[in-house]
Amino acid sequence: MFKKKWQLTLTIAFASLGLLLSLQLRAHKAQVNDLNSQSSDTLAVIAKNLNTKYYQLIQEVWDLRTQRKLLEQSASQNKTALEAMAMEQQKLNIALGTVPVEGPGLIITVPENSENYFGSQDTIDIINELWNAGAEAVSVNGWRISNNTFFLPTNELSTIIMNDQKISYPYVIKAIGQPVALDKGISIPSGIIDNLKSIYKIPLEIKQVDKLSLPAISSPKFKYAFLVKD
Amino acid sequence: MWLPFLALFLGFLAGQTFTFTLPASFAPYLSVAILATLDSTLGGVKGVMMHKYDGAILMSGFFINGTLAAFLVFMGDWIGVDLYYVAIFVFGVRIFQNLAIIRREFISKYVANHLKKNNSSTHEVQ
Repeated sequence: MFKKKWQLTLTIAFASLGLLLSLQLRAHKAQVNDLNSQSSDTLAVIAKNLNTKYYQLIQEVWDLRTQRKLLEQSASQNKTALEAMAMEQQKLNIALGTVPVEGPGLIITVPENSENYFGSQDTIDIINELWNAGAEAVSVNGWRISNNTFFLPTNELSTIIMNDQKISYPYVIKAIGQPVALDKGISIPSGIIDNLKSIYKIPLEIKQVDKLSLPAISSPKFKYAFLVKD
Repeated sequence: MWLPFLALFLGFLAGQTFTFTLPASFAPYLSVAILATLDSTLGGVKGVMMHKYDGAILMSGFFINGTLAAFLVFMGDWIGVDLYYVAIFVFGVRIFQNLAIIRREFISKYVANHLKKNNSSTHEVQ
């Protein structure tokens, strides 16, 4: 391999030189990047930049903290608002009749009688009297009274039209409310119940119960009525 | 002929593949050592060109000069004499001298021979 005598030693020398050069290259690079070897001007600039950065970061931390606090506050406000709205919605649903309800109340039963006429107007009067006495939900023959329930008379004596369908004896009117108050409210002397009982001899039955459950109506749809926008 | 230059390249690659890095404070000593070894190596090349080559002188010069140069600069730092610039000056001058001799030898040996050969060949054609 080494034909001439100078080749071996010269090769070793060159290899070592190459090794030293590459080591020096890296050491020099490290020295250039080393903070110790920087001029004080450069160091001052670096320190200034780092200081500025430091204060910017502190500022950012505070900004983000404030933002987080605000977000947390608005989140809790939203939560309370949501709860309040849910309660309000529940109340409105009960008032509208779109949810089934239960509670203590009164049952008024009108059994079949062939002598005297019990018509739609009497039903309306009883229901009005029940609302007046503090009823919170009312149903007739298992149909919930809602904001657009109507009663109409028919040609026959024994039927009433309620919401496009015929109902007949026995009419069962159920009302949820404080049972005693409802009972007293509708049974006042010369009130509707008193008149029906004493003048028209209709055998009404009034019963106070601890627990009634009334069904729901399907929720109303509005095509033409919209909220007034301010 | 090309073996030493291949060795230079391989040595460089070996140094780059090492993960180990010398501390930055070693850089001045290493640079002086590199100047000394470069001088020795060029001296060796010069010896080959002038047919006065001695492997022992090259090896001893290479390692002892390199180590001593680095050590002297270190000593200088120690006792407060800046020998760094002295070493740079001395080895710098010697490197340029060696390079000059190598260049002259190269020209007188190869380029002159080449020209002569060309001249003779053209002469033959003529």
